[in-house]
Amino acid sequence: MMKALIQKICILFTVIMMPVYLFAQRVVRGKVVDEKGGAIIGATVKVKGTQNGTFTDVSGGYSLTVRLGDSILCSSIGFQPRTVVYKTAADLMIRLSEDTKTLGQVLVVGYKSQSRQEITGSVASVKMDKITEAQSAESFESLLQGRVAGVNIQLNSGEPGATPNIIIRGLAAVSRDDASSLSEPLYVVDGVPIISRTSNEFSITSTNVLADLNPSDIEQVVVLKDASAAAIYGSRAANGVILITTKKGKVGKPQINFNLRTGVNLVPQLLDVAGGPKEREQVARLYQLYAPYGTFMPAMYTDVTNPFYNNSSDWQGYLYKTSVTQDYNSSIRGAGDFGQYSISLGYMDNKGILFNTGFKRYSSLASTTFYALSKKLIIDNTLAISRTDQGRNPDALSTGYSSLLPLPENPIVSGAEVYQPGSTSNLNDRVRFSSDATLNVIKDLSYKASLSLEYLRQMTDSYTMSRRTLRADAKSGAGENRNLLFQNTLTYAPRFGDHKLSLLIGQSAERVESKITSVNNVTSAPTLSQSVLFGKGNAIGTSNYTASTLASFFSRFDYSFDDKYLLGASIRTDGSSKFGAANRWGIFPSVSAGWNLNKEDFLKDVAWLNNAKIRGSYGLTGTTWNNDYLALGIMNGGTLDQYSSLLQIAYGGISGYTPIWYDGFKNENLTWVKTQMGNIGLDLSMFNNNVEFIFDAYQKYTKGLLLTTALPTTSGYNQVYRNAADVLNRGLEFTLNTNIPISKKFLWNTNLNFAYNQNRVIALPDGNADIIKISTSGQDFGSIVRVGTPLNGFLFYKSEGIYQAESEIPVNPKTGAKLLGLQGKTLRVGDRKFKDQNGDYKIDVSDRVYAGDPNPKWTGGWTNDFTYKGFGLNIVSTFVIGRDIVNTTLLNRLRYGKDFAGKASMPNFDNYAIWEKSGDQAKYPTLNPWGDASQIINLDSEYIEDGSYFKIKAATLSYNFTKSLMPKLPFDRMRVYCTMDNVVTFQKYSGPDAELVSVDGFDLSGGYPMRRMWLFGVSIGL
Amino acid sequence: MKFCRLIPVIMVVLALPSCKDSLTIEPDNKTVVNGYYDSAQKIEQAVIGGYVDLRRALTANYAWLWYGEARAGDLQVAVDYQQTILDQKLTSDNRFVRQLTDWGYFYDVIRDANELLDVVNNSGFLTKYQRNLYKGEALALKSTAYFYLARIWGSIPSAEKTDMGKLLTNQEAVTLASTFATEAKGILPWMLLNDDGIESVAITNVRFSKSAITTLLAQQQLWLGKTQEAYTNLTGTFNNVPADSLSSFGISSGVDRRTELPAAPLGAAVVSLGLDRLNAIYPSGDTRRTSMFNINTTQNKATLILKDATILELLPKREINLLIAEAAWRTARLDEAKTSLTRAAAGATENYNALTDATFADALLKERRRMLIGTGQRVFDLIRFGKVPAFITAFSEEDVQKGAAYWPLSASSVNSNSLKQNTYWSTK
Repeated sequence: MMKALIQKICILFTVIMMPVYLFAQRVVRGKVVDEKGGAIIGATVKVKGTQNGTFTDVSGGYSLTVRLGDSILCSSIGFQPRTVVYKTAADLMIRLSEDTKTLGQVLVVGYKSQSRQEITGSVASVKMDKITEAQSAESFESLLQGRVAGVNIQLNSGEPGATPNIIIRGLAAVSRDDASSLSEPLYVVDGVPIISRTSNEFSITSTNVLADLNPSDIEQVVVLKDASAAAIYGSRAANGVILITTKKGKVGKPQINFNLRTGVNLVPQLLDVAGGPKEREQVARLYQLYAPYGTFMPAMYTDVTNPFYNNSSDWQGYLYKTSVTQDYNSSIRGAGDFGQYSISLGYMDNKGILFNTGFKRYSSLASTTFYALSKKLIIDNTLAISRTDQGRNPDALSTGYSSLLPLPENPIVSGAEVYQPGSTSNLNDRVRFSSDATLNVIKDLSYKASLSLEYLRQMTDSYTMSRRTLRADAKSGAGENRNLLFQNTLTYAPRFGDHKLSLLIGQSAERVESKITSVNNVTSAPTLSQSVLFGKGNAIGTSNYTASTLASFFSRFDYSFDDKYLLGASIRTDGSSKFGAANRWGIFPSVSAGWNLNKEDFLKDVAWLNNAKIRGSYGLTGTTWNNDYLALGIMNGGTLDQYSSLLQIAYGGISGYTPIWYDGFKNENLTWVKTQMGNIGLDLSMFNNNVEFIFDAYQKYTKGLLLTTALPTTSGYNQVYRNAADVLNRGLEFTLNTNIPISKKFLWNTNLNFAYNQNRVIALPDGNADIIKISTSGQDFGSIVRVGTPLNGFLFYKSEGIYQAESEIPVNPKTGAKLLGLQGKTLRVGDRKFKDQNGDYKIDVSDRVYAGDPNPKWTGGWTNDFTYKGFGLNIVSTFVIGRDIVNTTLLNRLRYGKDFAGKASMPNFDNYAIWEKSGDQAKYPTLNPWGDASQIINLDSEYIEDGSYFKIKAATLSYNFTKSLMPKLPFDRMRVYCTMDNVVTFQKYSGPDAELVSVDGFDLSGGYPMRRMWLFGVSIGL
Repeated sequence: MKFCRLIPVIMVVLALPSCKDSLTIEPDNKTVVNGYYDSAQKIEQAVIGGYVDLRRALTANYAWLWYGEARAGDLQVAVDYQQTILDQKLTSDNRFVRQLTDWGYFYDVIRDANELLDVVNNSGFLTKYQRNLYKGEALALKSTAYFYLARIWGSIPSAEKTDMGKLLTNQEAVTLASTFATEAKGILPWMLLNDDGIESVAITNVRFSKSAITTLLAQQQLWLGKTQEAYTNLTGTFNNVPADSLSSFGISSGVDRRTELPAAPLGAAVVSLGLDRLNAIYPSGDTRRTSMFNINTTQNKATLILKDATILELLPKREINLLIAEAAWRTARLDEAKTSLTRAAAGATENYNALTDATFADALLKERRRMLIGTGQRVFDLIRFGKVPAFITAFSEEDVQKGAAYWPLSASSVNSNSLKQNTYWSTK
C-alpha cells in the first residue's frame, strides 16, 4: 500500500519536474562493457571539459549527471579510450575495445614517445604485463626470450642469478682470450641509462646485475634495433638499446594487485653415469685391454671386502634436489588530477636445484608524478631499492665423483674430506633515484630537466671449511658503483596543417665511478671465524678505483606530412674521459624515412589493408670499452715482490725504479668503436589489424673493435690496444602477429618471429693475422677469429674416423716413416684418424682447419595464446637453427689418464660407440689410459655437433575469474594459473641441453643444468 | 608565471654540466704519464732506467760476450749452450740461444731514450747542465742501442717516430746512430757531477761523458768508412785534453733482481780464456799476460783481472789511441798511426814502428783483440776488417757474403712485421 503511494508520488513529481529536467542536467545510468559484452569494472566515465566524473561499479554500471549533447569520455586500463556524445539512452551503453593492437600504440623511443605509425626506425616492443603475470623469472631478459626478432637471448646456465647473454643483430665483439666477449646493449630505465654490467675488473659478484629489476614492475620493453633508432644514444648504442618503462598509475580507482606464486623446481636430465657395478666392469675392462704389465687396479675395484667395492653412489642424485621457488609481488597504483602514484613490493626466493645454491630478491619501486601550475609543470620522482642475494658454492661443486666413493652421509666416511663445505654469498644492493621536471613553457614547447643517481653495492663473502681439520678459508670483498646523470631536453612539437614537426635538443652529463676492496686470508687457519683474519704481517687485500665521465649533446628531428611521408634525423655528440683530448668527441648521426603507403589514393580502397609502411634508415653508433684509463697511459712503478717491497734496482749508485716501464702503451689515437648500420623495413597491418607482418633487412658494420695488437719488438713494447678489428653482420628479420577469432569466445593469438644473421670478420690487426684464442690459463681451446669467416669459429683437427688396421696409417714414401700423431705420438690401430692437411706426415698445429661456426644463423620464437571464455593457454617457444657446438662435457668425460680409476664418474660406455678392436664401427677412439699421448684431444672435429634446437620454454594454463563470470567474487579480478617452465627441448645435440653453451659454442651443461619448474600462482586485482 | 624569469635558470642548468673539464679524469689511484715528470730526480730515475735496460740487453745470458769475443772463441763462457754458439748453430732451439737472437731488449733502450727526450724537451724546471746531460745521455743510449743492433743483426728496423718499422740498411742504421752520437757529443760534459755539484769519477765511469760518446762516435765513423771524419772527431776532441778529464764508460753491475743477470759479468767462475788461446794471442814476454790475467796452469785457463768488479767496461780509455791509430792509418797518416798504436800497445813484444801500410791492419786488429778483450767487440772488428772466415772457420767467405756474420732474427722479432732472415740464416 505504502509502496504504491510512494510510486504515485514519484510519478507526479516526475511529471511536474519534467520540463525543468528537459533543459537542465539530469542523472543518467549507463554501463561500460567490453567487446564481448562483459562488464568493465573501475572504468572512468567523465563529462568532457568538466570535473564531473565517476567510476563504474562491479556490474560495469555508472550514474552520471549529464546534459543532452555532452561528450562523455570513457577510459579503462587495457582498453582504448572512447568519447561518445549523449543523444539517446543507447549512447550510455559504452563499448570499449581492447587495446591489444600494436598499431596506434605509443612507444617510448629515445628521449620521446612516438606512435607506432610515425616510427621510421626498427623498433620492437614487448608488453610485459601479461608475461610477468604468469611467469616467474629472476630477470626480465629471460622473459624476452623468443619475443623479438633479431634479439637472441641465451640462458647459458641454469644457476639461479646467472647472467643471460643478449645479442642484438649478431655478435660484434672480439677478444683474444676465453673471456666470451659480448656486444652488450645499453639498458635505459624510464629514460635513465643504468649500470647493466660492471666491467670484469670491478665486478665482485657473479650475479646478473639486471636481476635486481623486478620484471613485475615493468610495463613495456622497447628494443631499438637499428641505428636511426639508437643513434640518439650515441656512443653506447651500437649493440642496440633496450628501453624499459616501469608501470605507472592509471586514471581510475586505485588498482591494488597481488600476485602470489610458488614453483617446484625439478631436476632435469643429468649426465649419464654408469653406476657402481658397471663402473667396476668398465675399469676392469680398460685394465684388461691396456694396462701395462705390473699395473693393478685400485683395491676398491678388486677386493670384494673393500667397503667401497659395493658402493654405487648417485652423486648427482645426492647434490641435485627438487627445490622450491617463491615469488610474491604486490602493488598499488592510481592517478588523478594531482598526478599519479605507483608503489610496488616484490620478494622472490629461488632455491637452486644444486646443493647450496639459490637466489633471493627484495625489491621496491615507488614512482610519483605531480602536476603543478595547472599542469604546466610536471614533476616525476622514482625511487627503486633492491637487494639480490645469490648463494653459491665457493668453488665449482663437483657432482661427478666416482660411483664407488661413498656419499658424505655414509657413516664409513663420516668426517672425511669428500668435498669441502662452505658457501659464497653474493649480495647486490641497488638504489636508484631519479627526479625530473617538465615545464610546458608555451604551447608545443616543453623543457625537461632530470637528475638521477644510482648506487650499486656488490658484496661477496666466501667461507670454505675443512671437515677434518677445521681449517678455514675466508674471502670478503665489496664493490661500489655510482652513476650520476644530469639531462636536459627542450622539445618543440608544433603542427601546421598537415605538417607535423618535432624538434628536440638535449644535453647530458654523466659520471660513473667504481671502487672495489677485497681481502682474503693467506693460509687456512683453524678458526671458526667467518671474517677474514690475518696473521701478523699477512694482510693481503686489494683495492681499486676507476671513474669515467661522458658529456653529450644531442638532437632529433621528426617531420611528417599528412601522416603519409615521414622523415627523421638525429645526431649526438659524445665526449668521453676515456679518450685522449684529441679523440675525445665522437659524432653519431642518423637519418631515416618512412612512407605510409595505405594513405595514398591508390590504396585507399583496399579495405583489407589497414596500414602499410616502407621504412629505410642509416646511421652511425658507437661503443667504448671498460678500461677507463686505457688512453691515459698508466705508469707502472715496477713489480712488488712477495714481501710487498719493490724489486730493487740500482745503477751507478742510484737506487730506485724507473717508472718509464709503464704497463702497455699510451695510445692517444684510441677512439670509439663505430658501427654503421643500414636498415630497410616493411610494416603491414591487415584484415582489421588482425594480421600484422613486419620485415627488416639490415647491415651492421662494426669498425675499430678494440684489440691488443702485437707490436714489433722494435717499438720497445709487446702490445698495444688499437681500434683494429672490423666485423660485419647482415640479416633479415620477420615477425608475424595474428589475432584470429575462431569463434566469439575462442581467440587465438600468435606471434612468430625469426631472424637470419650472417656474421663475418672483415679486418684484423697485424695484416689480418688469424687470432687463435688462448685462455687466460694459456690453453688453446680451439676458437679462431679469421678474416672472411664468422667470429669464434672452431679451428679443429679434421676427424676421418679411426684407424682400423695398421696398414691404414700413411707412410711417407720418401722416408718410410709412419705418420706421426699429435705430440709426436706413434699412431696405432684404434687411434683417431686426423687428416694430415699439409701432407707433411706429421699431425700438428698446421693441420687444424676451420671446422664449425658457433654463431646461430636463425633465431626466433613462436608464442601462441589461446583464450576460451575465462581459460587461457599460453605457449612460448624459442629456437635456434644452424649453429655448431662442441660437446665439451662428453669429451672431458671420455678422456682418461693413467690414474683414472676411482676419480670421476664414468658414462656408460654401452651408450657410446667406442673402439676396442679392429672392425669396431666406432665414433670414439680407443680409451687407452696408458697411451703415450692423450687419445681424446680437445680439438677433435668429431665432437662438433649440430646445436640447433626448438624449445618450448613455457606453457601457462590460466583461468580468469571476473565479476561478470562470478558475481560473488570478492575481488575485481582474479586469475589462477599454472606454468611449466622449460617444458621440452627438441634437439639433435647429444648433450643435455643445446642452449646451455657459451657464446663461443662450448657446452657448459657440466656447470649447472636448467631446472624444469612447475609454477602455481594466483593474481588478484582489488 | 613569467617564464622569462626561468631563462637564466635554464641557461645555468645547461651550462653547468657542459663544462669541458668534466671530461678530464685524473685517476686518484693511478699515476699517469701526464704531469708525472715534475722534478729532476724523476727524470734522472728515468735516465737510469735507460742504463738498466742497456745493462739487461748486454749482460742477460752474457749477451755482449756472445756477440763478441765468446762467439769467436776468444773467451769461454761456462754455460751449457756454449758449444752450440761456437758451432755457430745460432738458430738452435735452446731457449738461451733463442733469447740471444731476440733484439727486444735493445729496442727497450731506444724506447726509454725516446720517452726521455720527450720528457726533457718539455721540462722547464731543469738546469742547463741537467737538460744537456739527460738529453745527451738519452741520445747516447739510443745511439749505442742502434749501433749494437746494426752490428749484431745487420739491417734493422727503425724505432723512430717518423719512420717506425722501416727497415734500415746497416749503413743507414749506423748513420742514424752516429747522428745521435754527434748531437750528444755536443752537449755531454767531460765529467758528471754528483748531487753536491762535485765532479764524480764514479758516476762518470758508468754514464755517458764526452770521452765515451766521442769513442762511440769514432767507432761508428770507422764502421761507416768515414775515416777522415773519425780522425777529425778524435783528434779534435782528445788533443790537448788533460788526462784526468778522460774517462772510460762501462756498465755498472748494480742490483737487479728482475732477470737472471750475472752479478759479476766477467767473474772468474764463468768467464775464462784457455791457455792455448792465451798463448796464441799474447806471446810470452807480453806483459799483458800478467797484468790482465790470472793464469791458472792446473785448470789450464786464465781469468781476467778486474780492476773494478762493479763495472763492465765497454768503451775504455785505452781504446782511444787504438782508434786514433786506425783513423790516422786509414787517412794515410801512417807515422802518426804507428805512434798511436805503439802508445796504445804498451807491453807488447812487437816493434810497431816497422809496420807498413800493408801490415798495419793485421797489427791493429791483433792489438784490438789483446787490448779490448772482455768488451765484446771482437766479432764486430772481424766484420769491419773483413776477417770473419779467417777467425770463425765455420764460415766461408761466401757464407759471410750471405750474412753469416750477423745473428739470425728470433721468432718474436720476425713476428708481426715483414722482416725476413738474411740469405744465410734463412737456409739454416
